[in-house]
Amino acid sequence: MVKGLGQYVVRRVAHAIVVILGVILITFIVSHVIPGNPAALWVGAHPTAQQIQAAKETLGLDKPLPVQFYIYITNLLRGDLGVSIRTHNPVLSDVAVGLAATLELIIVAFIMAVTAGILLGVYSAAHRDRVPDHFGRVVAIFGVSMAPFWLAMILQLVFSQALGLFPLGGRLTTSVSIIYPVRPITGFNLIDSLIEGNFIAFTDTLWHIFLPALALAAYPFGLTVRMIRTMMIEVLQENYTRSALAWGLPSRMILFKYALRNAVSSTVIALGMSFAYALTGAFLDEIIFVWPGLGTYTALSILALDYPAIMGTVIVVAIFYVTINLLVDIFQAFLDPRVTL
Amino acid sequence: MIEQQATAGPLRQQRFRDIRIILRLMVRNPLSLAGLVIIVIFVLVAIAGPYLAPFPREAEGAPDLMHQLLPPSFQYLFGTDELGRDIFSRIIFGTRISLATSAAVVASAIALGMPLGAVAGYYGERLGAIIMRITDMFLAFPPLLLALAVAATLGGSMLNAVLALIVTWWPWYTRLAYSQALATRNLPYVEAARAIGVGDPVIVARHILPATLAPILIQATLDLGSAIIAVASLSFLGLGAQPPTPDWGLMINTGKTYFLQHWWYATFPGLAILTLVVGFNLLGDAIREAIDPKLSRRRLI
Repeated sequence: MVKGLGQYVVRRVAHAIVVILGVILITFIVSHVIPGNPAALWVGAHPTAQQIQAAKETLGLDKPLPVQFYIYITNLLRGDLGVSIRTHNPVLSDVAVGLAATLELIIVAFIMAVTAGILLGVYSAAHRDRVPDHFGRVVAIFGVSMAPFWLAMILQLVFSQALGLFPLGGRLTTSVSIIYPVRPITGFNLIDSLIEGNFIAFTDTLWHIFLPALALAAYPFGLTVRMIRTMMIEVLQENYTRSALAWGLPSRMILFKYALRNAVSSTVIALGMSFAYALTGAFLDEIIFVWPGLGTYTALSILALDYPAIMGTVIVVAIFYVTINLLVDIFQAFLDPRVTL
Repeated sequence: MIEQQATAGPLRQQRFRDIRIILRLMVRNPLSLAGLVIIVIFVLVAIAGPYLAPFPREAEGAPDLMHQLLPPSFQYLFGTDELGRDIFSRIIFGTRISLATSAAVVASAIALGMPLGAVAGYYGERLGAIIMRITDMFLAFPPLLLALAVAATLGGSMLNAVLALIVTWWPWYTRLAYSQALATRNLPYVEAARAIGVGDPVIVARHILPATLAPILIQATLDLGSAIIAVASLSFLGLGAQPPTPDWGLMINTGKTYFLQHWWYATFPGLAILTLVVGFNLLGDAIREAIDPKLSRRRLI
């Protein structure tokens, strides 16, 4: 079995490498081949003729396409994604900082979504086709139907502006960031502040992250409810559920101890699927809450026509996403030997 | 001709029976009916838009600077925007844009992805492998991200946003059609057609493609909802519709500057998106549940 797993991992890693090469090829085509004027975009707003000519030379747009691709890929392998027009930093370092903030937001959102989603999914399945089930399904459908940026705005309007319960945006209160600064170690504020025992910054970050995470949680929440509900309904029809019932086990124990365990693996898949959605959802969510992640970075880049920054973000996030998928698959194979067959 | 008589008849009957079962299950499920009603209402609004909107000229962009940022009232049901335009009228006009763009995205993605998947599944071997590897590469991007890159390169416009979304959407249908084609290519009626000498292109067109249609249509129903959100998201980023288009996503984008003081501005376009997408999801969900045999058994607890 271990041998099978090893072979599977090798095969899966090889596949991921091919896919990453494909991702690089596609972004190359987007940025170098399709019409639109990459050189003008590269320079930024209001370019002069000399600037465009210079950009063409830096980008190698005057050379034949295969040569361009070679330059593109060697730069990429050296971690050179160009320099942002707006911030004048190397794009890679900008993106690395933003990625940590975005991931922190996504992880908190997923924790919220999964906890609430499992509870409501089980509840819905246990009362199938009755009022609580209809309620659960409607809530789930609303969750997946919400445009994340709009939900973010509504939450901000109600809980920050009208009720004053949460801050309007940002990651830390300015005074806190001055008096109790968080030294970036992992880039995750919540972890870094805990490492240093900086509880004031920790709670302040939690207070700031709650609303944006809530807005982002809607989609994975809805998906979890649907997956858990469907799986639970299937499991609850199995013979072992019947046996457990016949033995007189309390239904709460059957639901949470036996049935839920069998529904969890498909939920992991659902979450893997919604991770991609959360990544781009976070982009839009961050803009509203001024969360200093990749979304805010990309939005400002789009406004400033900062083309290197846009393409750099896209390629880093895509490669990151392929890697996450790879890890999820391997993890799943580790849990369930049938996958490697 | 012989082959057609032998297979098409029962197959068509089978398909009609499936549709009848789906319809019956849907009528029994009040949620799916609600979804259908929502969609029908929005389609009617899209068709009759110019006759329904109280301020059609403002909906098309004409400013009315005497009535800027007014809260909802009987005259302006959803309030007015920063140029004094009636938001209700603009949302009505936006219905057409939203439905048309999302339908264009989904239909084009199917037109592109379905034949590719059917060909890949039917021929298998090298051609199929090449097509599917390319598909995998496109699927490796988080959906909106590739669209963002393409739209940013092409420049912000509604047409470019639609093109960008088609580029990211087709591989999903290729994969779906591929698995269907794999399952059908060795069925008796396809082998029979091959045995009497029907050419491969004809088999793909006459037998493989129709077999992939049903699952793709179900997926398309669900995808229309996601496409509406995707189009709105690109507009929200400034990569889609440009002012003064009464596009829902663009309205929310401009509204974000004003909505903390003027709550109605972004709220109503967002509600329009939410309602329509809920409609598609309710319908799609019900269809999916109706055809999933695993879910049709009795419950124990």
